[in-house]
Amino acid sequence: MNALLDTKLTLHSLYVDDSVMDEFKRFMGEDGDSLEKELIVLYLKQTPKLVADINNEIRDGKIDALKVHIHSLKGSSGQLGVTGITDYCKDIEEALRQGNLIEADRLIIKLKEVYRQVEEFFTAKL
Amino acid sequence: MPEEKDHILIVEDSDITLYKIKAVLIRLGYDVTAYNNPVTALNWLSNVPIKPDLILLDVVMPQMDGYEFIRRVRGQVQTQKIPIILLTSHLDTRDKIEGLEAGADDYLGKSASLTELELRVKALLARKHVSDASITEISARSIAVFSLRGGVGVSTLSVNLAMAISHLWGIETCLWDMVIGVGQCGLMMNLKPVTTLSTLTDWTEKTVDESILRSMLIKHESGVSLMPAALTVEEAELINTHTIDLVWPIVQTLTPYLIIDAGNHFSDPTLTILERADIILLVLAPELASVNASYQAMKVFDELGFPSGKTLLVVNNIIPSSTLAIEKIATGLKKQPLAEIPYDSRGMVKSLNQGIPYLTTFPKTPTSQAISSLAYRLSSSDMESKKNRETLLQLDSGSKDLPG
Repeated sequence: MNALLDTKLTLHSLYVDDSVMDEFKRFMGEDGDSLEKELIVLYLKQTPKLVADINNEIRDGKIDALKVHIHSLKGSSGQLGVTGITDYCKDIEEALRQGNLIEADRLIIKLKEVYRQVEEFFTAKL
Repeated sequence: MPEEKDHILIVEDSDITLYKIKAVLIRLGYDVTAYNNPVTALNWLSNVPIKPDLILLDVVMPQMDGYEFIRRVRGQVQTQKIPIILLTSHLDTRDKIEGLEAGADDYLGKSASLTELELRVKALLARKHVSDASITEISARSIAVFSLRGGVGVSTLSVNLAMAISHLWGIETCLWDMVIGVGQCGLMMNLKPVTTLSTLTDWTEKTVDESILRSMLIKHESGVSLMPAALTVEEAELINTHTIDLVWPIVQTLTPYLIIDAGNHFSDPTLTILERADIILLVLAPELASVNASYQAMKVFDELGFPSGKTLLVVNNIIPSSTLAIEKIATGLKKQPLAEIPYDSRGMVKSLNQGIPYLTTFPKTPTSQAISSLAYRLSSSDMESKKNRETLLQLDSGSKDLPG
């Protein structure tokens, strides 16, 4: 196993909890694999727009809309076990609750980086 | 025959969560309707004739939060008893209290396992079915529609309820108009009376022949047969408690269901009918005078020793925007209304002017759906068990023909 692959696998296990989709696939029986792929396609289709909205809203100070979109991203990421994103969403929600926009902005930058990694893992799965 | 599937509504703004939960519930054998917009979902819920058995609901949604959604669902009689599970990603005590106050039945974290989702859905549906069974156990063959306040739609409800029962089960239903002088039921159905019960005033025998009563009935194409009201006050005075005693044993057996338009004042014949009817639908409008009239009527029923379960409240929204919320009416009268009929005064007036019953002219409006739903609740218990008995009898007689 080369070092790059090793790093990718480590990052994957850091950002994605595979047990969530494994449970879903078990539950769905023979349709599990195809439904997992459909969910991933939907996630990859919708999340970039959500991340872009979040980026614009912190920039423009639209905090109410930002809170709703962070919540939405947290929910959809949770459905696929993307803990790397859900953890950042929780931290951003906490920063927003405290009114700490600088911290929220910093976390959103991190969130975008994590999403790029996740996008890569999921695209490879299709 | 395959068992009827439970129907679940999911309201969740995240398409991904919606997709996943929908797939899981379909896999578990449920019928599923899914909306990612709570406003559209509420609109659907108001108009769909058969309401879902359960709602799975997100809390944070951009157009309307889950708590407001619950309040709106609980504010409508037709939807107020649907169990609701809140889907939430944060479960702190404050959220739980707000959800419970709004009327949620249970919570489920979005990170909960699918097995937990399955078990909670099954548990709530099981509770609902037990509750439904006790609610629909209304065994009423004679239904008196009454109010102590005029103008709240007693005759309209009587006519359309009789029509709905006939239509639902394909049976003849007798509608007995007890309102003196006006012949409102006849007007609404464009039926002209020939003979009324007042002709029995000099009847000296202890019983009256069924054929005599049948000859008084005027048949309407809907399956409703009208026992017309006395057309003048003089004629009405000839109908007394003796007349009611004489005809009651027969009139209640003429058709499977007897609907009586008992009008809006207490007279001896009316009280006799109210006492004998299986149930009384006490009609009221959502305004104070009407609530007060209902309170007075219920007080009289209590003094006369009527069982409290015999009187069922029906809120008829005859005014465009109600001044009294249904919860306040229920609190004031210490009784939950059985049904709420939505407002459609223009349609009602139009059908009255045409002499065509509302249910025929506007069969798909929320008003007609509410009346049909009420008719179903009043008759389904008896009619479904009758159907089951008939099926069993057919099977039984069929089995005799099988070779040994």
